[in-house]
Amino acid sequence: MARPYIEDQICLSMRVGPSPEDVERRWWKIEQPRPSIALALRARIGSALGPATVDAVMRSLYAVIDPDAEDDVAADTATVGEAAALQVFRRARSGKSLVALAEGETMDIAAGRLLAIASFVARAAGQRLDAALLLGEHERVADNLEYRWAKPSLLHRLLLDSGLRFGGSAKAPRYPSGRPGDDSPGAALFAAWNGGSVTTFVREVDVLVSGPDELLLLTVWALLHLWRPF
Amino acid sequence: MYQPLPRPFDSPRASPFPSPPPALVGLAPVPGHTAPGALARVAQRLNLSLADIDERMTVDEVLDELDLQAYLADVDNAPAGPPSARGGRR
Repeated sequence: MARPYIEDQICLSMRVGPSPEDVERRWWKIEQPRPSIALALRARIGSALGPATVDAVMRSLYAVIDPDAEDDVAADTATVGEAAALQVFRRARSGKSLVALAEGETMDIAAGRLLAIASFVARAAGQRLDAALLLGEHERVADNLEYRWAKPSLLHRLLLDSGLRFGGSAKAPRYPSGRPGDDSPGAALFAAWNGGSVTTFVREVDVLVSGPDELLLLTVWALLHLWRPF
Repeated sequence: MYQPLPRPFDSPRASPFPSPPPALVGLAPVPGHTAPGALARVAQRLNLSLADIDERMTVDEVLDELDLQAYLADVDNAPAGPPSARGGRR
């Protein structure tokens, strides 16, 4: 039996111009890496963050993402015991989106939640965060005002192994098919992912993202997806 | 995640853990979560190769197997009691 794919999709509303109305809705999709890669990434990222930090951050993040679930955990612990309460956490395995929202909410709210998560991670990790290992190093391009990644980082690797795909910025996502002649907006990123070179992949990600905020949101999102069901 | 029984009086491991073979991915310990070689334990119990695990199982299923093995290890091996309960040694 083939492994089921645990996928997640998000639509980020990113500001792309000087006016507050210059907002673009951008679709992205990821999947959980296969077990050997997922455990290897967890080991490396866990070492960079510190063992105590990872567990605390991930559980707290889950509470940020789904406050109702946190209440359910407390209620179930009091009434039917911890085993039942743990099942609440494990609901995350069902393929439910990490940024799944209550009925009537829009995907735009998910971006706000992820921003809250990103700042929470920064606060919780504090000085224990090995930024160089996680985020990589950048350098200035000679005779130019642009910067590039001198060395791909662990989080870049995470995005590659999570199969990050771009679905464009239209009302509905249009993900690459991988077929010859594919003209979808994320076709080049998909080709880079298929090639497996993290350097090429990172270059394509940098072309697509609207800025550092979007890259940060994508990496936090992939990190959460990697770590569930905690 | 299964919480193993506390074992404050078990004899500590005398020798260091071996490093996993460099060609095998995913055998390093996850700090605070999984022991070294955990993925290989899953493969051993289910009689699968590491490639089969990647092909057929999700991370969640691997973690379930690890929980199960930790639980069974606790069932089969009771934690040692304090030294005083083992003959009055202190």
